[in-house]
Amino acid sequence: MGAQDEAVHSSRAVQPRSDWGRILLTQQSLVWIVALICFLTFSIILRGFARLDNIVTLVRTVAVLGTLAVAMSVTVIGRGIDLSVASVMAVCSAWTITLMSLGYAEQSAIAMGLGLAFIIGLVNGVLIAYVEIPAILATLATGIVLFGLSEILLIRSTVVSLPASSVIIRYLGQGAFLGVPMAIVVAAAAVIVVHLLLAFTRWGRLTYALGDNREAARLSGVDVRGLMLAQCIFSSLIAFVAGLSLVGSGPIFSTRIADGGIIFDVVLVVVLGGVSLSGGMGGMAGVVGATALIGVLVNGMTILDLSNQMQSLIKGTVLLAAVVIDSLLHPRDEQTSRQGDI
Amino acid sequence: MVDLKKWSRQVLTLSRGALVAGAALGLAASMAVNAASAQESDSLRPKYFADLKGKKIVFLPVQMSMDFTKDWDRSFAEMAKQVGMDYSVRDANWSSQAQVQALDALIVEKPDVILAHNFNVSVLAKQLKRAEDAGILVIQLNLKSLYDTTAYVGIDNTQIGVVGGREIVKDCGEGSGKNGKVAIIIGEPTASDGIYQIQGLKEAFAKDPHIQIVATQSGKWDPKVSHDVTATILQQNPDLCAIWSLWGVQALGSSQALKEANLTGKVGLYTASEGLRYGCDAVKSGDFTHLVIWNSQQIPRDVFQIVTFLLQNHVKPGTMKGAVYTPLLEVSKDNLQDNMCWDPVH
Repeated sequence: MGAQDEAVHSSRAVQPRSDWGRILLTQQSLVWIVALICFLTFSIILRGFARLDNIVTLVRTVAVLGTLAVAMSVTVIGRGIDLSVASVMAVCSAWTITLMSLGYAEQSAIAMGLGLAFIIGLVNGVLIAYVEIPAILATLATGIVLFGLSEILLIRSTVVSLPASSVIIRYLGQGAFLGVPMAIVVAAAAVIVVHLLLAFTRWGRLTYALGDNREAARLSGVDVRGLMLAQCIFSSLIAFVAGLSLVGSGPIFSTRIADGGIIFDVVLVVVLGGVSLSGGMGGMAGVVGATALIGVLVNGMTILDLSNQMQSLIKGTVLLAAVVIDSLLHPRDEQTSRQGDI
Repeated sequence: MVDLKKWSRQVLTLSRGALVAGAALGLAASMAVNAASAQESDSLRPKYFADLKGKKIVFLPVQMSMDFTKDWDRSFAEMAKQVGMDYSVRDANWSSQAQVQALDALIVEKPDVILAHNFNVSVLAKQLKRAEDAGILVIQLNLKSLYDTTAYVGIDNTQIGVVGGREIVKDCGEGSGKNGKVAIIIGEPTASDGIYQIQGLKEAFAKDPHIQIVATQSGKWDPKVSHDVTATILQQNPDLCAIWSLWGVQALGSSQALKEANLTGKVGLYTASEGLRYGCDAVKSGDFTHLVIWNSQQIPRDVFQIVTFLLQNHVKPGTMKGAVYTPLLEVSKDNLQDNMCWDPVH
């Protein structure tokens, strides 16, 4: 996906001179290289960083973030964006838990939560594909509306407790599969499923086509609107699964996480991972690399006992650098500047 | 022979006399009763209701749907109804920006009283001063701003830090045989609760140089963030002696991390909470080593005492300042009783 697209996409893009250069200079590879450098640096200067337990803790901390980034990548590759993933994750799973405490069986509660996520994805898709509201505005709005409605209609308190009777959700959050914590397994499963879809199915190819040049795709007979609808629904469903794993990971859960800026972290991981906001490029390799980089940074900064302000400063600087590199590697040209709204 | 005429005349005179005497007695008696009841009617009542009726009171919480803020809302609404006050809420829903905007709008609307629950120490400071200059009484609840208004009603976070710190010193300090390593996890980094609790903790720790703070991190009032931060701190300091967590809800995330690292009981978890049931359950199960309970249910009554007194005396904002701190209750496995915690009404 990477190297060929770059050469074709724009004549003003950075042109590496050798084959190795072409491979290493893609955003996806760069993010892995930086992650590796940070990892090695921290391993040397911080005692105990490179231990297996710490690495597992590190990956577990960012597993949910990674899953959300996978969800958002699906829409970003299609030249859209889904800013409601954080709300869907928090509200739909909090509602599932609330239903269980009201007496519904676990399976029914999960099905209803899934249904709500599906409906939100549908609403997003209809607003973007049929009403033609820019994706960034439509999904931002649905996210806020869902979060606001959640207290009025769906859940009794922003802090919800995991019922003792929960089995499936508890396993998704606290269980382990072959020794690997389930949060990581869920994230890995999302990555694998989306990668297989994007790389090997017609649907995936068409998503890239849609992101690369929507007009050309439409003129070639691709069902552009249906595809955008499907992307939004798929994104919401992945967000819901991430939410189940999150809710199941502890005795108590606060929906505040949806409003706490996690959506910016998700955009950071997506952009950092080479899934360009101009659409049509990037893949799971970059997203995993970016998640790893953020995980290494956050873990290292916590061990260094840096203040909250310093941590935000560093994360913000990294995002800025990522966006700048993204625009250098994929500058706007006649083709990309005419379509889309990001 | 009975002289009927003379006898009947005498009877009539007597009965007339008795009637008059009776009436006079009755009149005197009722006057006495009236006089007595006029002296016994409550002279403060008419002014109380006259001064409170129709006054506008607005509650500005950080988030409406937490169990304890919902309980506050219910109490405020009930008390306002009883005295005829007009009560409403402006919910910031976790957003400091929304709080700023709501307060701006309120300064224009000019209610009589604002109950402010500050998201952090600085965001509302200027506006609170403007509100009081505009003649609105401002009572700050539980979370303070840098600017002191007419009254602060709520927890003394510094004292909570002192009390919690004292327990930690007892269990981890010199003479306890432990290494004295402590980690502190506060909530929202710029909110007053964390800042003052750290002051209190440091005051308690100053008495024992054996105590060393190995980490001060923010749990953002969230159990998941607390969990991740705790897990990382435990990686670096598996021989940690104690963790202080600002609030019970986020401390549950820390207790989960301790459970996963098999360190429950080996690392003490000290925290404070509003008295909801989960706190007592956690003390009973051993997840919390020591819990400082500030009974949030008392706070609305304290607020209303201050508000009604200020309104009855037509106090101008800015002419007086004071604090009403909520009493604290220390709970550990030794003294735990079921009635120390309360259950939310749904």
